[in-house]
Amino acid sequence: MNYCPSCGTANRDGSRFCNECGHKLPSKTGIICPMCSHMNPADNMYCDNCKARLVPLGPTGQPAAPAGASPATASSAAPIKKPLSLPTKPAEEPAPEEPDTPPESVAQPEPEADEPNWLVRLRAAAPKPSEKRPTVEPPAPQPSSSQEIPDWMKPAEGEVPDWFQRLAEPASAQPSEPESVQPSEPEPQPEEEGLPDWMAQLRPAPAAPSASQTEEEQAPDWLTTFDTTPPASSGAASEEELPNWLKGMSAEPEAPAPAPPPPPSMPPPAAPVAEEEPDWLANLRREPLETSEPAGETPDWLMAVEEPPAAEAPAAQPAPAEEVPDWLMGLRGPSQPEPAAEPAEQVPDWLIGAREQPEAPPAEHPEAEAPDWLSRLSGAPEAPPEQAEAPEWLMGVAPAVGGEPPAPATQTPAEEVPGWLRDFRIAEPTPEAPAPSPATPVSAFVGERAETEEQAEVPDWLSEAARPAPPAAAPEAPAEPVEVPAWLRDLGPLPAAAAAPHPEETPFGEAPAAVPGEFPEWLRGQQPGQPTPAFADESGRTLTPEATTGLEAATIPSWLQALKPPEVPGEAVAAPHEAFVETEGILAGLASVLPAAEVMGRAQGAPASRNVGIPAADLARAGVFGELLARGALAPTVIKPRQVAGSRVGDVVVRVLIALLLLVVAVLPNSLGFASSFIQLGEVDAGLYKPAADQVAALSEGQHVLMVFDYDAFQALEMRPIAEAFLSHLAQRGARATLVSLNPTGLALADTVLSRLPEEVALDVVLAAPIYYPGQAIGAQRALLDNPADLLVVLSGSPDSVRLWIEQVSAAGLHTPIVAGISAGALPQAQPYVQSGQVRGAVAGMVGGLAYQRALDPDLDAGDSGLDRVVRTESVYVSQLAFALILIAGMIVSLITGSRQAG
Amino acid sequence: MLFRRILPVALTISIGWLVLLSFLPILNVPLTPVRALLVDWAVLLAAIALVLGFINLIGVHFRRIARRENVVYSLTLIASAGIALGYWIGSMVIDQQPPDAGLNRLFTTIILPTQSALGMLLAILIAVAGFRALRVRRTVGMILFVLSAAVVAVTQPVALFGNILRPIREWLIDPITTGSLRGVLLGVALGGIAVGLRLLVGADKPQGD
Repeated sequence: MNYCPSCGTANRDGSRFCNECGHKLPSKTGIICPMCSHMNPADNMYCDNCKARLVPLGPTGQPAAPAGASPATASSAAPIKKPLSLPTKPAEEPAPEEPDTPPESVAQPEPEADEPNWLVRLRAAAPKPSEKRPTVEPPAPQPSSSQEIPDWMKPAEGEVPDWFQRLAEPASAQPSEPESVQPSEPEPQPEEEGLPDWMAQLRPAPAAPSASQTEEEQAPDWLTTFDTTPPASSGAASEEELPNWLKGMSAEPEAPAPAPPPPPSMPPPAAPVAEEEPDWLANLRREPLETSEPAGETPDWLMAVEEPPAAEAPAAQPAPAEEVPDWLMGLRGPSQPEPAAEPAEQVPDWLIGAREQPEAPPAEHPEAEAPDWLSRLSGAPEAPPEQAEAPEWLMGVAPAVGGEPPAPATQTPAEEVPGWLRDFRIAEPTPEAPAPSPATPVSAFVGERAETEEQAEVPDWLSEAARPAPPAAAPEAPAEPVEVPAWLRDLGPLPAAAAAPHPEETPFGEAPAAVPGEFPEWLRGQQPGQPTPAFADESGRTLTPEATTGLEAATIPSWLQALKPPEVPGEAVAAPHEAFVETEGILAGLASVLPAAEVMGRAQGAPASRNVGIPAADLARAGVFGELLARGALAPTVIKPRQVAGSRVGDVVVRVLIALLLLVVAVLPNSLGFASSFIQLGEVDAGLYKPAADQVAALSEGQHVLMVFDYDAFQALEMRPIAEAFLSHLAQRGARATLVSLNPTGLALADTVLSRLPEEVALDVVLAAPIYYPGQAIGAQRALLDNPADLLVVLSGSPDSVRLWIEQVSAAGLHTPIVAGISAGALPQAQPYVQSGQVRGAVAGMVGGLAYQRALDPDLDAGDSGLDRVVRTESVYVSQLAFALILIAGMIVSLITGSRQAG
Repeated sequence: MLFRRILPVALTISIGWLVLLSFLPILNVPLTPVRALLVDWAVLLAAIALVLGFINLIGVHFRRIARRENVVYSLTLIASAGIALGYWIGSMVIDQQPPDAGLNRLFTTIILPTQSALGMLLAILIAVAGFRALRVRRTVGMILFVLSAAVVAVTQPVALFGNILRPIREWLIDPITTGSLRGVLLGVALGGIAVGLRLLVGADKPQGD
């Protein structure tokens, strides 16, 4: 929460202005997540939005103090929140030699329970930043691995071709390439699980560390064994391009037959340790690459085709019988022990034991089943055609190791030969050509290539591959019998026509005696160094090297140039990102990880820009509004009455005079007993009381009358004459009345009326004390049912009560006549009931009551009591008249003054 | 659930239908005693409701005094009720008078004059409102003035200009005023019928939740 410095209101994070007072809120420092750009509090370790780490690890491996944390907090004894880290789960098979000791400066993050195993192994196998590329250790033998070689790669028993065996030639000891991060590898293997055992044995002995070691560090691991002396100018190929299973495949320099390239789908094997290099790989030697080769033109994976010396072929760990197929076993040299258990998925079985053994005749391995072409690669005598299981296209791929031309390949069904290999031809070693490289797969396929720069028209990677490996320092151990896969065996030998192309058709000039496989048109007959003739591509277009100038003049993309190894041999210049080793987070310890953005851990407190591009019209309106505000709040319009001088005094005087007048008019006549003839009552309209009087007069003696007192106290003065008249008349008729009321005050009003009557009259008429019936309509019905009457007299000050009694009488099923005594103000509303006959008669107002009384007793006004009544009555009339006149005068004055004000 | 929602609604509907059916000519005879009994119970409930209302009124004002809200008025009301109750009890106990004697005396001496004075003020207030209406809207005010003056003049005990003003009153009051009022009354009656029917069918449950 962000609290306003002005009013202290809590505002949500991110607010720039206070929601209460509008005060600008101070911008809080925080950390912007580099992953999702979410603003986090300064003391956050992880992003609140995406959980990415915000604070890098310190040099001690502990998280650095948050940006917003106070020094006291940072140095407090409170435990720092540990970042998410991987559990330091030891590898399942820790390698016997572990040169990669973690430096003291880099502390591995503590593993967590949820850290995947693959990452643990990868982290353990990752080189430490303080070290240069360490030597890659061969993977630890895996007696049982859940990852097995695909079935299609597992050759049948005894299918190891001879050529493969010959590939395993002893190569010079080459330092194994360190196992680097293989991000493309779906299932990376730990260092100790790099090479399967069967490949580990085949790998030639690592050579002495040479200046080319650094170059090999950059080369894909799977090809490092092929190239013992990689040129300095060779391009630095990403190690991740090299499958692990080929990492240990270092061909011996003198390996005559190159081994076929591994299929791309095969998982790359881990970089084998020098001492675990399989023999067959150790035999894969080829001539060292020329330094004149332009740098960057040959991928490292191909440059590393040179096999390490076979002498340094490590004692390959014997592979379990269930992992190393027999056909591959035969590929290994006889001196090579059984390959150790290894992850089968790293090296295909068909490559097992693919070592060049030029000195190992295939006859020594009766079980060898290498095809003829592979036999030529290895320089060993060809296997009998009937024993040749390698496809013909591969026959003769092996360069003339030891100067032996490849034997003609037997006919191979064309449809069984892969197209990409169909036109491959292994050029015969020319006299001026260097010694054929050992049987490296790539070089075997590519054939002899010129090694001069003038022959660079042929892709350098191709020429490099064809370059023979350097001679091995020690003879390769006898290859072990290997199995040729069925698909390879089924390919059969190359057709004779394809094997022996026409010299004119061969792009390499004089075609070799027997060129296994089929070369593409453009490659057929192509000699290293010769300009590539025109050829047709798949779509039929004719392409020429000159036409395809793009090929020649193609610019190397920057990302590829970044992979370029240093030109100076032996100079280890790692790419920036390759040299960077992550030291924090879950990727700590891994190399070739893009460095984190510089914004990580840096507090972002810069205020946001306010330039939002407000339209000019809005700005203008805002300006006007600002001016209005600047002027001040608009005062509300107050209409003040015109104050005339002395008007206030005059208002008071008028009010006082009016009050005095009313008082005099109301009080004085009654108090003074003033009675004059000025006010003549005159004839009262008989209609105001006559019908009701007739109803009462129709009563006989002893009949019962129900009289209802249903008016309010302020109507008592007006209704009292009416009530007295009815009671007097009932007394005259001899009827008996029951006084009831639906209001609690009705009983008191009735009692007041009775007190003004003569006592004998009251006692004769009234049967009992007034009764209160609650519940309005229900009480009225109850009263009607409890007191059956011959006449109902309703004394009411409002027409509603009259209507209620009328309804209840009907609801009770009674036919009791109803007469009403009603006030003058309610008479207009009750008149319809009278006119409709529902009310037989009504006495209206005080005037009607007085007239009714005078009709009953003409001598009522006589005497002192009569005079008193007259005076009081006249005073009432005068007062009422005075009030009426004052009201009318006031209306006139208001009308006149209002006109003047409006005017 | 049963006693709060179902039972009150059921009683209301059943008793309402009984009373209503008792008015039918056919069912009048057997249901009239039932209706009379139910009416008696209703009267008792109304009386009890009056007492409960009085007790609740006292309680409300006591709570207001506790919350210090309108303390003067609440104290005046509670004191008045206490004085009246005490005077009534005292008149019966001490003076040996009928129960209604003391209450009647209080009513006559206090309630009656007070309400009379308030009634008079009501008339004056209506007149002042008419004066102000005359200021705001002159046309409507003029009409109001003329009619009010005519009615006041005619309804006097001593009719002023009765021969001239009485026909005006009869033409204005009887057809217009009375007709308008009766129209309102008709609407009220129809609304009452609708409410009654809704109660009888259970559409409205004012007594329940």
